[in-house]
Amino acid sequence: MRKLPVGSGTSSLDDATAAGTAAAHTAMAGLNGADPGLVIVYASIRYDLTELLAAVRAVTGDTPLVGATTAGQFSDGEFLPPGTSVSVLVLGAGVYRFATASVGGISADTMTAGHDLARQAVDAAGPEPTPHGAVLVLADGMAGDMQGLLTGIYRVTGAAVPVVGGAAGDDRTFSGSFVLHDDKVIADGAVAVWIGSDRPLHVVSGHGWQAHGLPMLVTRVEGQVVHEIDGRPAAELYNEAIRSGYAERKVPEGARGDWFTKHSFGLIEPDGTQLIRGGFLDDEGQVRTFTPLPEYCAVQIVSANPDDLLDISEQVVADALSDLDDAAVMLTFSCIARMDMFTEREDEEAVKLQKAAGPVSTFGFYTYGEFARTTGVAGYHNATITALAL
Amino acid sequence: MSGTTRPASAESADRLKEQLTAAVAAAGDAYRHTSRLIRVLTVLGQPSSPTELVEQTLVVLSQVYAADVTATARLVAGRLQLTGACGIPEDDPAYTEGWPLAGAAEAAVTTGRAVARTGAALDPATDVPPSLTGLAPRSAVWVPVGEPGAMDELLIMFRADDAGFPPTDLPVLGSVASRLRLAVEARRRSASAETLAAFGHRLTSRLDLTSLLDEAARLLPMLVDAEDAGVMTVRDGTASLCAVTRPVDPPGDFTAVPAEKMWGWASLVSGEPYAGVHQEFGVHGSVLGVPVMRDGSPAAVLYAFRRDRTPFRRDAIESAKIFGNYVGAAMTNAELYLALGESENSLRLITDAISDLIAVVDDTGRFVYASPSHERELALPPGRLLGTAVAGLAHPDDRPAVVAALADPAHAPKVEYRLRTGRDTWVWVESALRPMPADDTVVLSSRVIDERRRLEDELRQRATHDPLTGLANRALTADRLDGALTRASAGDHVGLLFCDLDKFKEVNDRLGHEAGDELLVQAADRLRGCVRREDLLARFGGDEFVILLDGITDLTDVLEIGDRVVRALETPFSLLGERVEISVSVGGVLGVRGQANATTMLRDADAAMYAAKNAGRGRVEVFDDDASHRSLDRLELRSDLNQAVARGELIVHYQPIVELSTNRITGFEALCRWQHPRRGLIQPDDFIPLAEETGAIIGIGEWVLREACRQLVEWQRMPGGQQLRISVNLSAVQLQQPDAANRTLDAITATGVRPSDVWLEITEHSSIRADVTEFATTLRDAGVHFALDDFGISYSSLSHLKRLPVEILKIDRSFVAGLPATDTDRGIVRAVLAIADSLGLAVVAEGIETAEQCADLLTLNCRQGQGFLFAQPMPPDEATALLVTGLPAPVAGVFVSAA
Repeated sequence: MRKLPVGSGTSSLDDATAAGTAAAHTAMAGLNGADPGLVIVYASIRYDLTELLAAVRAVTGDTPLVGATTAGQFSDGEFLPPGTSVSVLVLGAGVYRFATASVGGISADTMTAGHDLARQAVDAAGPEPTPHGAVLVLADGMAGDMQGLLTGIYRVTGAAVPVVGGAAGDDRTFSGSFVLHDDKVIADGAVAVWIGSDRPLHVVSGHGWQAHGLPMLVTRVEGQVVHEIDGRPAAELYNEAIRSGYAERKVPEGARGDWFTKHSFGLIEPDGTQLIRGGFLDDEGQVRTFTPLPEYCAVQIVSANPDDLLDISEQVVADALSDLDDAAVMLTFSCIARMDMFTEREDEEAVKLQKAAGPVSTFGFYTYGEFARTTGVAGYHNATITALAL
Repeated sequence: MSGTTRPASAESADRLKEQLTAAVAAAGDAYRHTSRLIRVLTVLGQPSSPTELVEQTLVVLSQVYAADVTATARLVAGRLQLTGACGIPEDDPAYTEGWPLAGAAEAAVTTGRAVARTGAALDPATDVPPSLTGLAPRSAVWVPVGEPGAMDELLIMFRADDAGFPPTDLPVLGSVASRLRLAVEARRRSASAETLAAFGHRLTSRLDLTSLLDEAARLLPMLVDAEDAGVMTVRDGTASLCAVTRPVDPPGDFTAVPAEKMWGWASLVSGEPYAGVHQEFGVHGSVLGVPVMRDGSPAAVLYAFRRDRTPFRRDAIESAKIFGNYVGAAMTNAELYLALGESENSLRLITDAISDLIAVVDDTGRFVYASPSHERELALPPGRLLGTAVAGLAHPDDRPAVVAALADPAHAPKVEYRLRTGRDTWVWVESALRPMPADDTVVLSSRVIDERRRLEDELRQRATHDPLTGLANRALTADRLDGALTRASAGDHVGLLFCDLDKFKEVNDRLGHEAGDELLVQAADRLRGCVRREDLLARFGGDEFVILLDGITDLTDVLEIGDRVVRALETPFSLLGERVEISVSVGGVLGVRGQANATTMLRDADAAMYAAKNAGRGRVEVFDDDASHRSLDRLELRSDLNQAVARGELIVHYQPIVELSTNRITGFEALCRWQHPRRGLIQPDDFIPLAEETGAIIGIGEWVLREACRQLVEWQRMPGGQQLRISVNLSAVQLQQPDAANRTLDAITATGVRPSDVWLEITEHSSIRADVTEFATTLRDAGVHFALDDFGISYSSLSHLKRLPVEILKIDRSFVAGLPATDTDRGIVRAVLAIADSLGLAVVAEGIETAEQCADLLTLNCRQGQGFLFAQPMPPDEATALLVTGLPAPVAGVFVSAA
């Protein structure tokens, strides 16, 4: 299989047009003359995004473009903290078959939105099937149940097609995130890339959190509010198990004061592993999770330290590249919660990833949730790092 | 000591750690298993359509078992037809073609037991369906569902890894699969029931046979999940096609088909549905036939067609059978409707003959039919009414009620309104409304209720007005005064004038009662000339008039109007051709809204009037606040009253209650009198209100009750006295005491009297609170009886009957006074007797003064009474003497229809 031509570029200029132009030029130059097949743009919401896209497309032309707003980015070992910055990745044409699609208004019904998104992307790939495939999804993670989006995609693609991606961020301002498709800036939306391939594609993920304490049963949930755990008020239990002893903890700049990311809920998976679900106390003293917990799910309290989290980045790179010897790029999505816990070591992950990947380019952003569907229909994560090597 | 040897305590700590980890892992497993089951059961319990239910369950199963593919399949014609899947792309041919039944799937169906295979045990050729070759599953489970010995459904799960499905999972999965099937069946049944109900309505709205059968053919495929349908009617062994959703191919003549040649006739003729597969007449697939049975044989057959060979579900066949019954019922309806049209003329004859006013009104509120009785009763010829709006005939004030009732007859099934007759008069009409949903019309059945309304108005007027002068009475005045005083927002004040005619008694004594009444009427007319529109003129009884001045500036205004009153009555009156001069003494007070209180104002105005009278008659005296406080006369009386019981100044008089037909004394009413050391004998009307104001009534009431009961015990010891009973008045203030029930009962039982011989009389207009129930229940349980005094005076009479276990109604003397000459009084007495009769209550007439009144009461079937005709209230010794002698027997011939 021919190696995928890849070029990437970043810019932290304040002006959207200037930043977009600069990053896109650098990325295009990396292709060494190969035809572009797909453009991926990760950008801060601080930019005028329409202007930014126009600037990028002035360089990349009509090449299909997907992207998302972020809470920080990383590219080839460089860390771009939340704030004005844009990263552009251009993948060359001809090695994989890329087909893009987008949907808006996903919060009304994420499952139908996921179905329509996947249907459009798969149909856009043309009637001739490729032996293998994967779906890259970027979505507004604050627009409802993201597992619903995956369930909808699953109806179209089935079990054989892994899904990777991330929920768009907004530099921790909680003012709303956007996805990008060609020249469109879409709120409450999702964008997808069907990646047709001649060889199997593997989505990998890891989180580095450790469970402790006894398992518990979540006994009453309404959307993102957890009312009861083991039949007791959830807030009471949360205060006992999570908050106590952390009152004096330094809150990362820009993060919510009640964001106690050192501890989270670990949703016990069928294989005994944990799916991480960050939780916090809202203004009304209710326990909320960023992703709704299923009622009557079994959970454990999980915690982590920066070293464990950074070690797992290396593990994820190793897994992603384990059966590929000609990989060109690793599309990576790391959770903002991880960056919050790195505190002053927040730039280390970018360096560690690139070091572990060696000659393979690393490109990704800090997300509000990660998509990594590999087994069964479940695949929406928090506080996780996930990757797909191409 | 070797460096590699670890201390025993460290080893034991490690061992403990391991055990702890193992325990936590075991707990995790247990929670996960529990969680799995609960999550699946939760999804099964959530409301959703059958299809959604299957989808949601498969999604949850995929999540909780980490299964890449979860699916349900039904065994159809030797293949597995997918009924739901999670993890198989939606365009996979498996959804239309199904999977072959082979390998583990076949084993599961055949043995009826779940099969799990992992790794090498999984045969890619037979166990893995074509859709999943790309996934290359490494473990799978097949769980059969169905009746024992006839498993026809499978729950299947595949995993890409070889984690496998351990034997412990299988029973749980078996249970989940059969619960899913049950839940789906239940949803399907309830969905079918809803569809059937909706279709039933659609069928019954078709009132001609052709459109009914067309509708049946259109609805049936939706009900049983088919593509097309047709209907054949059967008569005398011959069938003919009369409705199809798709033309028969090739076309032919299907008008005279021998019934026995129809598909499935053998089942259909016995009333059973038929299901089979056919190839003729453009049908290539499953056929369902349902007979429409009437009189034991098929009157029609409904056929549903499916292009594939998938058989119809059992529940669909059951629904179709019910649908067939609906069609049968609708056919009967359609025929009846046809017959109805023919019999409409005879129906018209019937409605023409009945006297109620029958009308049909369309959805715009206009007459589309009016019975001829409209002309007889209302002088409105039906022809003139057609197309006229009902509301247009109603009185403008009543129009909104009529419009509202017609708009929603289900919630306003009756409406009363005034209607303009053809003679241009208003009559009260009551209409019962009955909606006819079939054609959006309303049937009005009306009758004229003028007489009833007039009586009601009369009662209402009586309750609030003085019958002689037509002026407001005390109750209405108090009410209006209260209202005026609570309107705190108005910037002005409220005045009150209390007017008492001087020397009225002299006129009465000299010229007689009639002249006295005439004087009052004339005086009332002159007073009307003194007041403004917004004021209220009232007569409080006797020669007392009260004027409520609603909206004045100060006491000067009160004085001014008082002067006007005095001057108005200075001009001599002409009575029986004689010139009569009288004067009036007027007392006035001023009340500040939001502060003054009606009782106090009335009391002070009364006191001011007395001050005017004392100052020399024909004068006005107004009291400001200070002066009010100086109304010492009343205050003195009040304070005297508090001592009256202790000083032994109260006495009880007794008035006999008699059986009107025989003059036999059945009991006595105890009446309290006050023998004042200086003022002489004071009547209850003069001191009971004061006693109620001060609360002295509680002591007085109990004393009277004890005294009366004690007296009764004495009388009952006399020969023939055992049957006597005693009536004692109870004030509303007494009722409101927290321990009223026990105190009253104690007073009775202390004397040794039988409680059942005691009747407590409660004045009807006394403000009986809603919470007297406990009082009434306690006393009634002890045997004490209740009577409602002065019945008919207040309009809210009937509500008291609900609150108290009343057994006797006492007709107020004012009604008895009008007997037998006054029609209205007689009507009211008759009405009271009718009410009592219908509620099983006894009636006692009060104030019987003449033999004619007594005779008339007997004619009206009133059995008991009291009044001057028989005896005045008398001291106890006189009453005892009367008991010995008895009353004179009634004069023969007077009591005509006593029986």
